[in-house]
Amino acid sequence: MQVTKLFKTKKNNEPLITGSAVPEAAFSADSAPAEDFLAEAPPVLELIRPEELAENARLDKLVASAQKGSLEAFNELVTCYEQRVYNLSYRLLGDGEAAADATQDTFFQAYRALGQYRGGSFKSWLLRIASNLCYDQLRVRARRPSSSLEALLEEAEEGGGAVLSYMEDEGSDPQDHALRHELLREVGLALQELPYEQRLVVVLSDVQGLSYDEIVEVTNSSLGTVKSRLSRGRLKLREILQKNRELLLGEFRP
Amino acid sequence: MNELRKITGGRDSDHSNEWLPLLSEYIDKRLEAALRLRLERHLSECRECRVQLASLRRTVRALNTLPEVRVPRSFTISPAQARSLRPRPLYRASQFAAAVAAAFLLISFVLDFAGVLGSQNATSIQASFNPTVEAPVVGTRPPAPTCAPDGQNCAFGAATLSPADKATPDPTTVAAVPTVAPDKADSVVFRVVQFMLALLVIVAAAFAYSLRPRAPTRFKL
Repeated sequence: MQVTKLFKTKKNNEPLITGSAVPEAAFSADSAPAEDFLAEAPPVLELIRPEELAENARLDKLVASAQKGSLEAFNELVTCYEQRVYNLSYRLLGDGEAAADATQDTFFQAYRALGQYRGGSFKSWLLRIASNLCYDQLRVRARRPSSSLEALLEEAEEGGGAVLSYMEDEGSDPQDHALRHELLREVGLALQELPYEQRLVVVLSDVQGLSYDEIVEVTNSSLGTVKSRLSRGRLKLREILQKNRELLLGEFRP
Repeated sequence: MNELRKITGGRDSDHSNEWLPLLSEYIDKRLEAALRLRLERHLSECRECRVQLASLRRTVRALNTLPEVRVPRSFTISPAQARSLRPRPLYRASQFAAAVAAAFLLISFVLDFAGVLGSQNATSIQASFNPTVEAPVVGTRPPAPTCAPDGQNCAFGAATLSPADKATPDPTTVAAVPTVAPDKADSVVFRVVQFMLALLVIVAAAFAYSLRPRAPTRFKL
């Protein structure tokens, strides 16, 4: 039975912003001003808006209906969550085609295993299936002798042959646009260099916007493990970006 | 600079080991109160850590703004795919039928070899254990190809008893023949039942095999 949450904690990060943010030119520590570091007030509990409550109730009904055997209800759930599952798979695998396969298999497996879903967050349950499938795919890929790191990066750059369209506004300044594209492409590539467990937690938290508790549900690990993986993952990602940027700009650290 | 750091010793690495791991939680506002106060106090005094915090924040913000990729197609499941994913009740029923029939078949084989069901085996065993009967059997009857001298193996299948055996004026065999007849009828029924069970197992298993859930084709037909 689904327990509908009435309160949620506000996260510092706003996920999936698609506005025209000015690209951050440097990730190196040197150029950062000593900005006001003080974090805002401690987390505030806020009521979930009525629209959200209604949405959650609708989803609960769909899940119940799908469990009873309604394919139509299940397909509605697919339409709700496919974007999220696809994006998680894409950020984990770095390849559009592989992500599509993983997404399809996720929903196949979910349909088969509907009887085993016992409540809790349906989203977390789905994402858990997706991340396990992606992990299996990566293990298979790792065993293939032909895949070197360069090959994987190349594959990632080409987007695995799939045409990727981004959901963003076209109104921003074209030069800004290009710079931002370049930067974000770098971030996407850098993600591929993280070890899997760190990559998973970083994507779930900072790209998908999941809370620590939701990540615990998806990964089936302890809160402490999630925190340390997230911390190490973010730091490592920053390191990778700094290194790549140095190579790109031809800087050498003394 | 990095080399210099290494020379001056571990002080800087201790420093980063102490404070760096806290920054991530601090950004998420999940650092517990006491640690948070300690960190903030430290940050007010340490430029290096402030700089680290700022760059980490920027990394996280860049991740936040990673564009969402649009799905290349719909991932809904077609009715055909759904059918091959969810095993139908008939599949389960035929599995069950095959299993039950196989179990009964197995039991019947066990009973067969134990000789519980009163086939010719039982009577021949009794006959061979009777010492007075045995000697005349060996003496008067010519050894048939399928019979061992002690007369035991003659009992396997009434058909193996050659006409010559039956004709011999042997009290044992003459006595044995009438007792074979009613058992023979039972054994025939028993064999038929065994055969039917075997047939059922094969048919049900074949049915179940054809209805088994398979991985559906990815592309909807």
